[in-house]
Amino acid sequence: MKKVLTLMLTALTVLGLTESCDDAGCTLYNSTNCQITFYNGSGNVTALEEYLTVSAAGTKNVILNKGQGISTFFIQLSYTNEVDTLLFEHWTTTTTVHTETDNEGNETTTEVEEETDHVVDTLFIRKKSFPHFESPDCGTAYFHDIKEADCENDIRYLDKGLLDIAYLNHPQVYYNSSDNIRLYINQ
Amino acid sequence: MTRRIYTIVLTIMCLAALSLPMQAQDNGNANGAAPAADGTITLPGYNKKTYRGADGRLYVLEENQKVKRNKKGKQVVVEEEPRPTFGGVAASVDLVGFVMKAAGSWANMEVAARFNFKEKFFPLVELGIGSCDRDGKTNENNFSVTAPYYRIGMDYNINKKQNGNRFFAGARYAFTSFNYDFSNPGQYDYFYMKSVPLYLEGMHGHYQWLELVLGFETKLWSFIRLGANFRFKFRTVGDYDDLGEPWYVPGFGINGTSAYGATMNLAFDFGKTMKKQPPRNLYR
Repeated sequence: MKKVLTLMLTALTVLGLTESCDDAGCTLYNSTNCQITFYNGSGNVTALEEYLTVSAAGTKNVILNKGQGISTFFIQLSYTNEVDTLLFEHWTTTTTVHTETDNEGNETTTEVEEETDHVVDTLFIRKKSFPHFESPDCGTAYFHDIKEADCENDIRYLDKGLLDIAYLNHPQVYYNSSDNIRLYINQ
Repeated sequence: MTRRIYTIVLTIMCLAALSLPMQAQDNGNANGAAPAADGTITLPGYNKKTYRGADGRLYVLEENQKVKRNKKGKQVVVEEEPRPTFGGVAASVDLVGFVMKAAGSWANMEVAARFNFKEKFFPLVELGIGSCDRDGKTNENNFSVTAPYYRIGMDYNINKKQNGNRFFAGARYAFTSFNYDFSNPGQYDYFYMKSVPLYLEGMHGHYQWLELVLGFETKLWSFIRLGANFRFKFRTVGDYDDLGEPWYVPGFGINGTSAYGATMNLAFDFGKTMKKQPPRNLYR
């Protein structure tokens, strides 16, 4: 009986030592991001020439601050709202050259006038969000199923709008998703 | 006269036939049967083992008798108590579960009822409550669940000796159905730059799994026994909510495709219990 009891206690001690070592096993991704990419009319990824600022409407959240040469960027969608509204601010410069013609018919430049317009286009992302967790030791995240993406040009400068068409490429925004929304731009 | 002689001859033959089980043959090896390693002799056409006594005669071994050598090297015949078909019921409680409940964040607390057939087969039922309340190590997450679980199975006693110890190999089928909660009060929405506390309650899970068990048990006193067993568990069915898997499954342990486990059982044997028989020298 003593031998059996000794064997029992030894085995339980070994088991206790092995049970105390556990692995959290968290995913390598710490957030879910929606990727937005700019495309030109030819269907190729293109980098914007003008400065671009992207912000979340109704908040102070500036996602992209006067970025130049931007071809793609990532945003974290909201957790609870059904529709997220993104503002795309860019500046278009219009140059007006004033000339005078003298008696001999020669044309001379008298004034060059540059006018910069602050254009704000809007992107609407309609989605369904749901939380996701793996372990108490890991971070929690929200997954999104995008139902619709649509864009509107600034009504003050309809002819100067940046965004032409919003195309929903990959509706699922999970841990490792990419190229979710394609924005075709006016050229 | 002739009739009387016939009667006497027939009576002698009947008596000889009746005495065969007790005294197989006067000169044991007359039929050419060689003694086995334990000294027993199996006679051709006779299904019982015999042994040669100190008096040089052959005696028949009963089913519960074995020839062995004692510590002094002397041959003795050990007679075991016959194993009853139904040896009673044992009720047991797992001590590990209560220790883990007091010391850790999760525990399986269970009791069991076990039936004894022929001291070899032990069909059993285990009922338990699994409980977990676990906080994240580096965040504000919390996972909690409390639910019952059930197991049915059988142990087989591989110890052929009747010395009070039992060595088990067994298997279990287990299942549980439960609701679990997960919360993160510190969840932060980076789009609107504000806190969005997350409380998920009543998510449903249903798990089934099989367990392979190795264990041993010894008698402490009278009908009280102490045992331990070690289990390898592998999941066969795992249904859970789309929002996330449970971190812990009642009865199974930390969630995964497989898990290890152990119990330490304090058992109370009700019914017939096998007693260790002292060796008796039955040699004549």
